[in-house]
Amino acid sequence: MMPLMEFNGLNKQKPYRAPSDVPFVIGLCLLGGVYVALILGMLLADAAYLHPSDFVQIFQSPEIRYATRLSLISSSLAALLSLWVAVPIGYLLSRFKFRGKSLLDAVLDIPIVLPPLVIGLSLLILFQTGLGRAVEKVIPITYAIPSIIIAQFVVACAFAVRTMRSTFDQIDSRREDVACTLGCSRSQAFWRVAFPEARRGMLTAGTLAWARSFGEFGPILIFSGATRMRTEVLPTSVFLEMSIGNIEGAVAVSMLMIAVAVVVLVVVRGWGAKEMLR
Amino acid sequence: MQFGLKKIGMISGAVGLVLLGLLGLDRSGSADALVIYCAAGAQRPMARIAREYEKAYGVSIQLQYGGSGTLLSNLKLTDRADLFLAADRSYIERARNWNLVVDEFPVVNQRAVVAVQKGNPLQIHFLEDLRRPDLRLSLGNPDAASIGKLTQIILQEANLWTEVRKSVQRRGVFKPMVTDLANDVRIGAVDVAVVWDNVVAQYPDLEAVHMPEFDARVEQITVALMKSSTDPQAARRFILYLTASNRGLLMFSEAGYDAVDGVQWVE
Repeated sequence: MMPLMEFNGLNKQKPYRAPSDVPFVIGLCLLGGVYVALILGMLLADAAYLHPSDFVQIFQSPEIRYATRLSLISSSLAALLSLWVAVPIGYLLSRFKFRGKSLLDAVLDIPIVLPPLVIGLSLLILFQTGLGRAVEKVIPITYAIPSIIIAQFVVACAFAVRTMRSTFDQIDSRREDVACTLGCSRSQAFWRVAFPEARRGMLTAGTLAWARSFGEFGPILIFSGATRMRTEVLPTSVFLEMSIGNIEGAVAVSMLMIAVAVVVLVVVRGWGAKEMLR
Repeated sequence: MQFGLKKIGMISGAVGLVLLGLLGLDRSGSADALVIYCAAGAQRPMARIAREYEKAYGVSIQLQYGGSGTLLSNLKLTDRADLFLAADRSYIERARNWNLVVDEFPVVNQRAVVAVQKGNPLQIHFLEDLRRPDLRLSLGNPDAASIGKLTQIILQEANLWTEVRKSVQRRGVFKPMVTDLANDVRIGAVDVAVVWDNVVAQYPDLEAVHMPEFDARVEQITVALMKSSTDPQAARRFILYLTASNRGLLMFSEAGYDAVDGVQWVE
């Protein structure tokens, strides 16, 4: 049993003793515990399926090593791009009233609502139009590495925008107003007041975007293909291993993904928490 | 406190209701249904065959579509299918190695072809054309798609594989599903793709270029009766229907597939 939280000071004046909080906390734990048990159960089942030699095998595969590197780089770039876009959109939505705002809000939810395959297909079609082809003349995108980053960015950014908007919603705009009355321009108020306060939210948005990108598969399969040593990211590896009946390989790559993701998220959050304290 | 308990009770009750609802929803998975794992490429004719069979004999059929390799993985994991219709014999062979198969029957002959836009605007006629530097190619993953494996073997025999693979890595794409390859040509994301002849037959705006090297190798869509079948008799009866020249095979032919020869179905 975890230590119970105590509401100190509430009942000090009265002789009456508050009823025990134990049933309440047990109830919370029971409801939440089912989910945690489900996650841990999945991991344990995966681990039970594996033999250490399966790991040796995937670490020796140059394709998997390439996919790991590409996954890390592309999702980090996608997360950075997402932040870069999500901060201004989040700030706009949070601080300004304008015509068509609710429409814009709905548009920004489209990547969250659309099935992944549809996003991949739509991107593929977009880059076959005149405009798309013009872009392709400068940088090859479809079936090349940039297509992976774009596919990840499209989905991850929508989540980052949501997070940034609620971050700015929670920051009291009065402080920026005060800064303005003290002679700041709107932009100075943003950079000096709102932006530093939004750091924690940016960290959350960035890690969320990174995690979405790291696990993304559907749009990448359609828009980037599964060309080994080129557009193969780790989820693609899992799929390719599955499609040759190599379940051990697929599970081993999945465990590798989980390990990498946990390390990255813990390190980033730990570092972020330290930064906040400064 | 009473109040809190009541609330938790209500929430638990709601969860229970949701679980009950989920159980109630999945009626189709009843025990007497025939479960068929079906290669995605055969989706159209198989859906029709299953419908007609259900109508005529009241047997419910559950079709699960996917890439043959993915389905094979599922078979290995769950052991829940009566029949497995695979894109070519190699998958059945692998299932046999895992001791999952009782019996197998060929359904359709298929050959690899080069799919191009209608009218063949880039004038692709010979295998050597595939290494033209201006060409964007879409091929199946050699390890994940049966068409990809076959393409690799044939190009290797013609000493073109290394060159073509490099060009695909540079300008084209490898994908694991044969229908995605045809889609790529149709959308215009690539110029040519190597696919099965029966796939092109389903795309009115594509054209199949036959090549002697490809035509020489005939593969077969094959159906297997699985050990895990809960009702082997019913499964065999469906196989008879599926491989009857005036029933299943006819519907495959009508969908543009080159069905094998079969015997007549008699009521």
